[in-house]
Amino acid sequence: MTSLSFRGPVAIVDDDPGVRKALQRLLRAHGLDAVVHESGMKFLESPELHEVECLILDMHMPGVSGVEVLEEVKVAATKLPVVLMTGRYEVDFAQRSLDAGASAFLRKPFEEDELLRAIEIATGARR
Amino acid sequence: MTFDPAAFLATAPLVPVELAADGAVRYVGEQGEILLGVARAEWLKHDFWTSHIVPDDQRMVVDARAAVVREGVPRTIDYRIEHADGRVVWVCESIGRGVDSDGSVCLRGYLMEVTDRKRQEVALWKSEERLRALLRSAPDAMVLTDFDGRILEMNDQAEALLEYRLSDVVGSSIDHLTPARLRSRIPELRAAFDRDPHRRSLIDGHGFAIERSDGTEMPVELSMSIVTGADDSRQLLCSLRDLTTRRRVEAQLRSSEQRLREMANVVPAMVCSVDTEHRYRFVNDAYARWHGWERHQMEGRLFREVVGEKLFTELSTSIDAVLAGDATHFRGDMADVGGRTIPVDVSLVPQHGEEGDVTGYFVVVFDVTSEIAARDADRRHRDELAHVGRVATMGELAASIAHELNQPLSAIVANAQAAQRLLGAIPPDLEEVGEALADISAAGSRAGNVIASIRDLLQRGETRDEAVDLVSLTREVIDFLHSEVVSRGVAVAIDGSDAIVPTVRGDRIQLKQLLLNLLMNAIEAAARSPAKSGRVDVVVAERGQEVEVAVTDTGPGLPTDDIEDLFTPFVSRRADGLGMGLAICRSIVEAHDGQLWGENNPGGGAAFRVRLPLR
Repeated sequence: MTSLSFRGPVAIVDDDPGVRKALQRLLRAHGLDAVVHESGMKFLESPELHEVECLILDMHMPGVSGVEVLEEVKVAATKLPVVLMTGRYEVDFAQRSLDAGASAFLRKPFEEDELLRAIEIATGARR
Repeated sequence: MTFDPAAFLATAPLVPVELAADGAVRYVGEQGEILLGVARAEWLKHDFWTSHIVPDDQRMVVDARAAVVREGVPRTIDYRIEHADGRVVWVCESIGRGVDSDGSVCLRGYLMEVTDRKRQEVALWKSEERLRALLRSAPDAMVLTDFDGRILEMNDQAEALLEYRLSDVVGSSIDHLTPARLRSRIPELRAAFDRDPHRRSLIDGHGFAIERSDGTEMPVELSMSIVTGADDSRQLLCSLRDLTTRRRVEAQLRSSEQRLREMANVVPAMVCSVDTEHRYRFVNDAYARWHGWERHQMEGRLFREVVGEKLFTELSTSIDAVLAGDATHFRGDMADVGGRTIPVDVSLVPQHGEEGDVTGYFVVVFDVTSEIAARDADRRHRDELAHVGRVATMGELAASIAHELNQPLSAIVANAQAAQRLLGAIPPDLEEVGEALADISAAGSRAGNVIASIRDLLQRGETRDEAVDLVSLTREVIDFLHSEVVSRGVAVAIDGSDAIVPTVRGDRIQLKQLLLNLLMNAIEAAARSPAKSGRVDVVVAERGQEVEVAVTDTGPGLPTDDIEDLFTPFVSRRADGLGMGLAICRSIVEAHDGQLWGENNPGGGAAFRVRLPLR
């Protein structure tokens, strides 16, 4: 896949600056408006919580974990589609992501296509 | 010519006297005036004796005369009487009982001045007293004999030594105190002494002995000197010294030296004794063999000649020290005659004389080949165990390590694909491509560091000895454990002043493994914190001559019954733990001359402390 039908603004939350910057650069190269936050708390306190149309969220972060952020997001903005990422090898990650309310999940490292497909699945742009 | 008593009495220095039974002078010869320088009329006065005889002697004189009157036996008494010129003269009174013409008892006799004789007698008596006093106080047994060997006197020491009483042997020959087998030597000894009669030791005890009253023999040292007796006779003063004690001590010394030699031959070491002139006094078999000599060939030889000039020069500082009385110790290599070299442990120990002076030194050389081999094997086992421990740790950390690698890999992939897209745009955003490439490079380095850390910990190598900064090493370990920390949901902080750099010497990898194990344990414990968020704090600080690394956690704490058990292999706090971590940590710390212990914090949680000597 080289193009994306979804256009809406995206937020990326990852504690790793290298990862969030690279993802932001890639999504911007695809013409998406992407903002980044280093922690779930900062995202939850930001105006982007209600502005973005998709959240790409890292699972393992110091302080508040991805699953805890997701719970808060579901309370604050019930419709916001969330893609959960993990860098760890976790057998039940898919199930846990869905149980937590994620719309899609990604295992790091992932290809551009996998990322775009996950966003489309999450946002319903692709069925 | 016939004897004329009257003429004799008139000219002899005798004073005839006739006394009444009560002592009053009835008659005195003319010579009485010469004797005392007082007129004869004076002699006849009633109080003559009491006013002239020295008061101390009066009683004795009165008693003696009364005895003569009573018993009729003549007596001779010496007493002192005052001369008119104030001198005291000694008078010898010879007196007998007589009967007067009227039938009454009287005393008749004569007086003679004996002052000169008395003086000599007193002088003689005094000198003999001195001799006897000397005899009594002498520490040796002393026997005084006349020149024919008849015993005159002996002191208490002689009585004790010979077990004879003076009264039993006085007057008998000293030959009787000599064992029969040795009596034949006495004339020879005496002749030798006669030829050169000065005081000397005649017999040094080797072979001479005396016989005690119970018939037992005792070896003695005999020396004699000539003294002059009260009657001008020559006497022999014999001094006897008991040699049994000295002989016993000598025999003991000989046997203890023999024992020392025998012992020196069985100890698994090369031993030699060297005098202050650096000559061998004694070497044991092992020492002689090593140098290719026989023992007897080495004794008396110069130390430097045997060990060689080079080794002797190397040893000179130690030799100076040992001759100054300080034992020294060092390790080195030593070659035998065939050129074979072995690692040795050498001790130089001073030998002291009776006055505490250094009379030489012992050199004790231990072959430490097997000790070093054992230590090497020990170290190898420890290294292998440590390595196994590190491999196990890597296994436990596999998920976290994968995460640590996945992060930069994700960034690399995303940046590379973004760059491709940016290059395909019209116009291409080259500036952004450049930044993406720089980020790829940084992420690549980061992944490389993770790999290097893994390689570090997995490598199997010789223990190294290098300077290690514990603060930066701790930071490296915390970085390495980042994913583990995040996934466990705990916080880790290090408090180590950057102003001080607590550096120790040791093996960086093993010290890293130590910190890694302690931190992993602490992180795992902190994740089970009773409180919501677990914490691990690492404090690196100098404590005197040591560095202390304290790793504290907010976990449930250690079982209080026996914390030391945790350092035993296969004892683990964790259900999934192998129980080798702390055992390996303890062995690493001990190999670095340090200490490791665990304790519970007063505020909850556990603390593990490592103390290592500052370099």
